[in-house]
Amino acid sequence: MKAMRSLALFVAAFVLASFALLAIPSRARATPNYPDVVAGALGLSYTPPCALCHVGGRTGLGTVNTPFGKSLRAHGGAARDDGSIEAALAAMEKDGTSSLHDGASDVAKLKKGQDPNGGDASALSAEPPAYGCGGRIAARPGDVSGVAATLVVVAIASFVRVRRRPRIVRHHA
Amino acid sequence: MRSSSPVRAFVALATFALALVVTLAFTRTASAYPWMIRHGYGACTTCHLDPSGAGVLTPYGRAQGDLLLRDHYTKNGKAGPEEASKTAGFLFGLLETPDWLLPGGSYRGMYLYSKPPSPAPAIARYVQMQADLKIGLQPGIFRAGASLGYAHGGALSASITSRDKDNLVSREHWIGVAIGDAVMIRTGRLALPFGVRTVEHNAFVRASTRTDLNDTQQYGLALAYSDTKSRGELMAIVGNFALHPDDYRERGYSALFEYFVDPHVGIGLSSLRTQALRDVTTRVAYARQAHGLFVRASPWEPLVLMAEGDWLLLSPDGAATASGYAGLLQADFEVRQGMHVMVTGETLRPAQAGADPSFGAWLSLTWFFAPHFDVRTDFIHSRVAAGGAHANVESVLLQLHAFL
Repeated sequence: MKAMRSLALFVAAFVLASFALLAIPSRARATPNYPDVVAGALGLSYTPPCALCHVGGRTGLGTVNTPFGKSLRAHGGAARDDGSIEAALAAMEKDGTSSLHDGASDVAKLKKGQDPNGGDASALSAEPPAYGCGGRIAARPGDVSGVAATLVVVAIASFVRVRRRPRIVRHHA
Repeated sequence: MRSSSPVRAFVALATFALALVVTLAFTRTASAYPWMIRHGYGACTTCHLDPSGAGVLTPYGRAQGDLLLRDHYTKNGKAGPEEASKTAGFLFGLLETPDWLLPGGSYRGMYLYSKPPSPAPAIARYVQMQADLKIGLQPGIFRAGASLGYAHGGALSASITSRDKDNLVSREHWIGVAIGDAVMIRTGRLALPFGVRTVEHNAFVRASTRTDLNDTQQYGLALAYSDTKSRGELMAIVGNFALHPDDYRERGYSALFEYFVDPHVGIGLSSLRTQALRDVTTRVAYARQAHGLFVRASPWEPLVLMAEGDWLLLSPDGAATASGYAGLLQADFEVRQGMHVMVTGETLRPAQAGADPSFGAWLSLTWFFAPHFDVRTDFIHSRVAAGGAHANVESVLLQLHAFL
């Protein structure tokens, strides 16, 4: 009994020590927030979405392939290097890069709240998503899938027959 | 309290308090081991409070974890002990709790090394994946579950606080009612019932369907059913309230059903459809769907084969519906009790016009080396579609997981 208690205390101490040790290097650099870098470099009043550079908004290796994203890369913008992105944006502003070749520069479009990829301008400057508590739930006209699923859950629950499950047999290794 | 000795009571309480503080002070994923079907445990409710698995363990789950999961260092293939050790309990058995109170906690830390193609720099960093305290309640017919943890980075979709990093996170919090032994109806923030509930939250099947255990839980109302022949859960989704404004929240449903052909073979169906007024990354309205099949089978006790295939559909506002797919095939071989070698293959073609498929191959080693502890190493080779070409990425993960 005494040995068991000692073992338990030892393991508990080991857990705590491991937690502490593993926590120390956790001050690692987080993935850069590129939309904020773009907004800051160009003095935008809004934060553009990831889809400005990433096709379909999917981030990750090899996804910077929108027309604007390709231009940014062609001007030296590189992953995990905020300075290279700022420098590339400055170069694009200077040479008046127009990724869609429509005569209007990408940077000028961004400053006017327009999408240099030719997408929906309202999406570009929409309020960005935020996280944490404090949101409110809004009713949506025509949004029926959630309501329908709720009704199905309630309906099924209403008709559930209470029954006992067979006794569980304990397994051994 | 197990002991009448004030000294022991003080030590137990002090240890719990310290564990609480340390866990909260330092933190993304919960635990679920779908390969437990090798022991005939296809249904999740035997060991977990959550009817679809993961999260806090029942007393029976703790006992089975001790008996069947960890290495007992027996020789010549001898079986381990017949009864679970007292260290299987909460805080290694130092604090005895009534059966209706299910406390718990998990810490999962990982060292990541990833080498993308040159000239991109290699990534080498420590990732604090999870540092959560959990509690479950099951007095009478009442059921409740909640987690609270700290995340240094990531897990924003589960955050309670609103900082860019260093947030308090609650991946789940729900209340419910058990109707008999087989049915539970609950509401709150829940992991979406879909596919094989694995710990690999970044697996293509979990990431592409947004049904992982890390931070893609949503609020809603769910009805779960579980018996010895089948299990299923249907959830009505009303959105993730940790994400705002409301335009970004998804409404819809997610559901799964698994039928046990045999106690060691389960075949399942999953289906999900949600829509939102704005996508988090593109900020345009969309509807997405995922429908799939999964199989778990243990033809021989040391071996479990798991497969999942999902058909993905994305309908962005103003654009045609695009389809894609995600697939996972995993073989878990338990070399000796507590020691697992896993080989995984996966593929993903995103629901996006013109997208090319990516592939991944994992070799993983997991060792449940002590009560409440396991370590894991993953060697991952990914062939990622990148702008009409493919890039090779090599990664090594070293993980330590401890639970209270």
